[in-house]
Amino acid sequence: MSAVSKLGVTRDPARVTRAAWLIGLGVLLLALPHLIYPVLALDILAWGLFAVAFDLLFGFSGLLSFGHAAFWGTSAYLTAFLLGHGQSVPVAIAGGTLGALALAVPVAYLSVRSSGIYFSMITLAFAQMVSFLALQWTDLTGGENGLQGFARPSLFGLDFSDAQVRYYVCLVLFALGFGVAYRAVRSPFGQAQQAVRDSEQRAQSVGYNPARFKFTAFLLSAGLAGLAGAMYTFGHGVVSLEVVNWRTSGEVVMMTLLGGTTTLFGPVIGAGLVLLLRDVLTTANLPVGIVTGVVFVLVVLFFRRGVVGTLQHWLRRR
Amino acid sequence: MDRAAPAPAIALEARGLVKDFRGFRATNDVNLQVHDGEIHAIIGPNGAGKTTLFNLLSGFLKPTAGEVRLFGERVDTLRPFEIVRRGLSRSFQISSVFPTLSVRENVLVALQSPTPLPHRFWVPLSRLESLGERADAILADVGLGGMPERLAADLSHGEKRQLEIGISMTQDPRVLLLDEPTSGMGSEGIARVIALVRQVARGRTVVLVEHNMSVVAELADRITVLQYGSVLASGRYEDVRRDPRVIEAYLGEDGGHA
Repeated sequence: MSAVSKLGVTRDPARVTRAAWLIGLGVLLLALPHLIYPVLALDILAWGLFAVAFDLLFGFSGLLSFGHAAFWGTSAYLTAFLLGHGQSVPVAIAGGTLGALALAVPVAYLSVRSSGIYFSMITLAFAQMVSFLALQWTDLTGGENGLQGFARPSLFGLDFSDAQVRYYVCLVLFALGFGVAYRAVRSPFGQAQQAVRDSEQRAQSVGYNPARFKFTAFLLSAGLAGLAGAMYTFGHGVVSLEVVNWRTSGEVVMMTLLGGTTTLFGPVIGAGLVLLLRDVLTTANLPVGIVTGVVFVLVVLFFRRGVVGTLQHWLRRR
Repeated sequence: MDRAAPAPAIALEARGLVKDFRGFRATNDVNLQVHDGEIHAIIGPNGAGKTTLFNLLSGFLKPTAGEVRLFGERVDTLRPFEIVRRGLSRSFQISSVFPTLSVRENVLVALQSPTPLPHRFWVPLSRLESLGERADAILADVGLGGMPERLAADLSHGEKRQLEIGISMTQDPRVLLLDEPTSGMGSEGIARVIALVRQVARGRTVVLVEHNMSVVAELADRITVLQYGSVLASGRYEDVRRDPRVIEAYLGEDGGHA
């Protein structure tokens, strides 16, 4: 195993921590549909990947998009549309994801030259346009009624009417998306991306064009958000205007902050916590918005690193 | 240097450089010639426009009028990273490192910039190890070889300045602009920076903004004195420090030997 020690697996404690998180998350996600009902587990997967995608842009490029629902929603609609027109599941999911990616090209091009609140406002404006289009373009989206009852034809003997089956298919897609994000963050690109975020001036003075890295990060993020949106459609079997609503854009910000930015695992945990909390509160007939709002405020005030970030911080100090 | 020698090659040149900020003229018709291979100090009282001039030379500001030439090529229309690729690198007055990266990663990320690596989001980080030897050599050069894994945010002020110079060195620039490399340092740190600047100046041109006159006396071949955004005097250090206008404006009665 000389190759392993050469890569520093045994020496680098950060690497061991990452491996531990990876295994922990993997085991948890494998067991999830047996712990909670499968459709909720499916939601956690889709929203979890959505939050990871968002973190790729917010945490690692420092760009707060307030319009990520545009990519999630476009893909969700497109996937449903393709399924409704007789396409197979893989084609529909790929089509939805590519649709989100295609939409991201002009949005990213026009938005990455600004930063801070201006970037947030431009992305919000684009998302509102998408939302308006979804409402108006009823042939494609079903308008107020949304899309439902589309087929999810079986494939390779997998019966997609079974939520457990859908869950494990989505888990594979999730692993794929998470792997892309994980690799991107821990790649030469990821280092350059973080250098640009840390000090744009400094990055320019060593020959980097900041806009180029933000653009790539935006596309990666939007593409993964698209994959997550396709998973959501596939998992739920229903798409409504909610997927392009600005609240969806806000929700993914909340999940990411709750779990901890720049941790990659954090957003998944954050998504899980928000969805579980909402499920419990709804069942108990308690006011969902108020309680999740209070939890969010408390976390932001006292655990600024988020759940996973705070945990990692404590573990590191010990 | 002999006065009768043929005209030296010009590495960096400013011609009639003007920069206005909303009615305030920060740089007023500056003409500057930096000879190839020299250490050129830019001095002047606070507010004389030294940092503005640096920003103009490195492309971080666009001049209102005039031009900047790097080895004869006009660069004032280019963006900062394009100027870097043509051989001019700079440091900043306020220590500017990448705080969330380790010391070694700071140098590695700068080293990889001219390669195709930074755009490959699908290759593992270990690929950067192809630049590892050069990174370690640079860290040793700037005296940070003993702390490669330290987070840059945790470095002392002096160490950050050393790292900054190291980051600039990664571009192997033909012209290096250093903005107050000794600011906020004690005498020991200053001595280390002087030695470091001497070392990095070997085989390249260095322009530095500096307040500490003993550092200027120690390092500079030629100096340019700025006042109110204009060039008051420019030339060999020994000549300029005897210029009565310069003495009055800045150097003090003892000619700058603090």
